[in-house]
Amino acid sequence: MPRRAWRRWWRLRWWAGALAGLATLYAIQPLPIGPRLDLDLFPLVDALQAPARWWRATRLWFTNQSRLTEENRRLRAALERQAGARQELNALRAENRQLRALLKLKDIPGFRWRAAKVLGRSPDQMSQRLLLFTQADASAGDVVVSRNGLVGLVSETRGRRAAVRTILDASLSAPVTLPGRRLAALVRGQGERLRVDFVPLADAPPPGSVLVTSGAGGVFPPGIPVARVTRVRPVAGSLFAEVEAEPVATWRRDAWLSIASRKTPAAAAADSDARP
Amino acid sequence: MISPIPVLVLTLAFAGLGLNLAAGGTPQPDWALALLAAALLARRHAWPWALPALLLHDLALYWSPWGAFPVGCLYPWAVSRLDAQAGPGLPQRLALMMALTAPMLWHGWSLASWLLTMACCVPVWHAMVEALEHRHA
Repeated sequence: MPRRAWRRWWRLRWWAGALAGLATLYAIQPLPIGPRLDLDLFPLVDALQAPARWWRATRLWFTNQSRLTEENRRLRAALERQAGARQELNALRAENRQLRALLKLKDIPGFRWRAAKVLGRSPDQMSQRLLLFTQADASAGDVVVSRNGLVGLVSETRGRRAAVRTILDASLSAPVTLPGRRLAALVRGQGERLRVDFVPLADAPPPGSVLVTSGAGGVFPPGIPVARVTRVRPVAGSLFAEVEAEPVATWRRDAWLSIASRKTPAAAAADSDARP
Repeated sequence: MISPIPVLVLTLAFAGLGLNLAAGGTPQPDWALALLAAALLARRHAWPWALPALLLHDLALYWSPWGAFPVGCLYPWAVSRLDAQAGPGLPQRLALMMALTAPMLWHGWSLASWLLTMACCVPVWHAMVEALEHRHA
C-alpha cells in the first residue's frame, strides 16, 4: 500500500475509534453504573470510618470516673428536662391531633416511613448524592426526607444500602405548589441551587416563600417542604418568571433521614380501614 | 518482571475513592484522580491501565462518564504532539495536568479541592518518575 494511502487509512481508523468511544460514553451515561459502584464501595467506606468509631469508643473508655459522675449528674438533669419537654410534646401532640381533626387534614396516606443512617456523602460542595443504611429494605424511587424537608429519591439499592440522588441533582424534578395558592410549578436541581420552572409572573411567590410538594405525578407525597425562594426575576417577553430557590432540607449535617416507600394498595386499604 | 507500580497506584486510588465517599462534605483532594493523573504524567504509556481506572473513578464519584476520562483519552496523543512541536518540557505537562483535573470543578467540587488535588498530584508524579528511572537504570 502506498504511504499516503496508508496514512489516510490510519487517520480514518483514529477518527472511527474516537467516534466509537464518544458513542460508548453516550450509551453508558444513562446506565446506573455510578450508584452500583458506590454500593460496591460500601464495605470500604465503612472500613475507612472504623478508626473514627474506634477512637470515639476508646476515648469513652478512658473517661475517668469523676467526669463520668459529673456527666451522669448532667445527664440526669437533662433527662428531667427532657421528661418535662416530653410531657409538653404529648400535650402538643394531642392539641395537634385535635387541630388536624378540626381542619379535616389527613396524614400522608399510602406511604410507609422508616429511618435511615447517612453513611456517605458525595464530596462535591453541596453533597448532591448520599449513601444510606436503612432499617429495612428500600427500593429505587423511594422518597428521602430530612426533618426540614425533601432530600431526594433513592436511585439504587442493594439490600439495606441505598444510593440517593438529592434534589440538587439535575436529573430530578419535583412538582411543587405554594400552600393556599393555586400555583403549580416544577423544582429542578442545578448543582448548587434549585430552579423553579413554570411560575407565572402574576403568581410568582415572594423571596422567602417555602414551596411544598404538590403530590402531582404520585412520586412525592404532598405537603413536604422542598425549596425556599431566593430570587424572582421577570424575563422580558416571557409569561413565566425566572425563580431561583435553595433546598429547605439540610442533609449535609443530618446523620439520620427518613425514607418513605409507597405502600401496596392492599396495605394502604388495610391502613385506611384501621384508621379511626 | 512485572512492575508493582500499577498495582500500587490502582490500590491506593481505590482506597482514595472510598476515602472521598467516607468523608464527603469536607474539603479534600480527589485522591484517585491525583494518583491516576500522576501515573499518566509520569509515563504516558500507562494509559492501558490508567484510563479504565479513570473511567471507573468518574462513574463512582461523578455518576457520569464525562469527567476526567475524556480528557485523559486525549492526554497521550496531546503530550506526544506537544513534545514533537515544542520539545519535551514541563509547561505543557502542567497545563495538561490542570486540564485533566479541571472537570472536578464542573462536577461541583470546590476550588480548594482542585488545588489540593494538583498539590497531591505533583509530588506523586515526581516520585513515580524517580521510581521509573531507578527501575530502568
